Amino acid sequence: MSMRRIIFFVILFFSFFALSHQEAIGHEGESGGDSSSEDIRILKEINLVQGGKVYVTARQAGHILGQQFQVEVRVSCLGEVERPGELEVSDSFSVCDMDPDSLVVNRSGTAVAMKTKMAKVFSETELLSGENRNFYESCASKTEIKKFSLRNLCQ
Amino acid sequence: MARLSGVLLFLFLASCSSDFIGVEELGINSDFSDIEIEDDFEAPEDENVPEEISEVPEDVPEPLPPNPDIPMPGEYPFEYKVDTFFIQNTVFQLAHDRAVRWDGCQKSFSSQGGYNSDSRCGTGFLHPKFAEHLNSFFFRCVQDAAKLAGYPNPEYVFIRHLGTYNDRVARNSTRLSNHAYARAMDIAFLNLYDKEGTRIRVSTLLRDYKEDQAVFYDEFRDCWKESIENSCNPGQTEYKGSIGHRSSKLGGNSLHNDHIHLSFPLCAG
Repeated sequence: MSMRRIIFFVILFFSFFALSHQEAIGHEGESGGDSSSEDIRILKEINLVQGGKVYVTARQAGHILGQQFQVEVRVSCLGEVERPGELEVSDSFSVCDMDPDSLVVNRSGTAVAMKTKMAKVFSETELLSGENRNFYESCASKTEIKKFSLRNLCQ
Repeated sequence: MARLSGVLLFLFLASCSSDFIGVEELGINSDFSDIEIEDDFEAPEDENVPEEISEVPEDVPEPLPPNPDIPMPGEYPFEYKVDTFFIQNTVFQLAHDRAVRWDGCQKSFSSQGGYNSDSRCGTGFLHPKFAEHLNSFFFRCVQDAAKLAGYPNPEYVFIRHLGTYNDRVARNSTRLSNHAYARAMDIAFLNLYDKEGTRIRVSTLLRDYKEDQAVFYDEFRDCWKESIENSCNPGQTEYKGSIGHRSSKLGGNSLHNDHIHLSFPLCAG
């Protein structure tokens, strides 16, 4: 087989591979919203005072209103697990952006806080202009501190 | 052959590129230096100050002394309120359809609200049919849900929402959300005020889904679903009229652990 044909089939293969991964992740959809554990980033692991382990994770969720990340708390009362992304989510919120280095647990071990950005609020003029905007350009300038409670987990 | 290879290569590269940053780029494009986390912060349930309550709305009367003749919640004879959203007459042309403007600051209307706030009111674009349906059924569903949850009959509600109209597209999709048609509102909290001005804050967060909050959550969605039931069939997009979290009675998905996506879907009219 000539080199040109080989290159052709390689490009063909990767094209089909890439196109097949174009999931229509819409905001709504009763069965949507879930990701494989490979799509999840573990931001922090916390050992609970009462025993067990908490994983604070993030994943991109394609939130239609500019809050494209889901920050989630996943709990394992049996301690460390191999695939934290497969644990049930016990709490979560959506954000436009967050600072992964800001995650901190309070002294009593009852909560974890982080710095986040909500979606920017566009003016009516901007909304009516019909321009699509990149998500990372659309976060509010003000930082908000959000918290997860670590109480009542594994009790 | 060369041209076909070029086209395929282009498709491959196009599919890889995206306007959306990945989870590995969290925090890279934002400046978080405007605020610092306190050294020893409280857990969210220990915080004394209710979120965003800095003012009492002007038309809330002074609290009345308890009246033993007033029946308990649930027995209170009330009428359903309609036309609780102040909708302005102007029609706007959005990217994909038309819309009217809801003014959530009108104190004489029972459904007020604002973006991501329990007290700071604002406006929002709504599809005319969605606005009409909200005026017919929204407050009625709030009243029904409050009754079932054991709350006093609400006089008005302040909706803390996360947006109505938005023409952004989803990642790697050309499918438009009901938000692109202004046919949806994402509700984070409902602040119910009774005749005495007492507030009950109903949460849509997954972590608060228990006891009376869960009863309200499910009944509200049930009621809204019933209001469009004859128009939509199972299987049609958003035929239930709302999406919540997976643990709720009507179900949902993990994208909705912190809000209810309330809509007037295309199948409803």
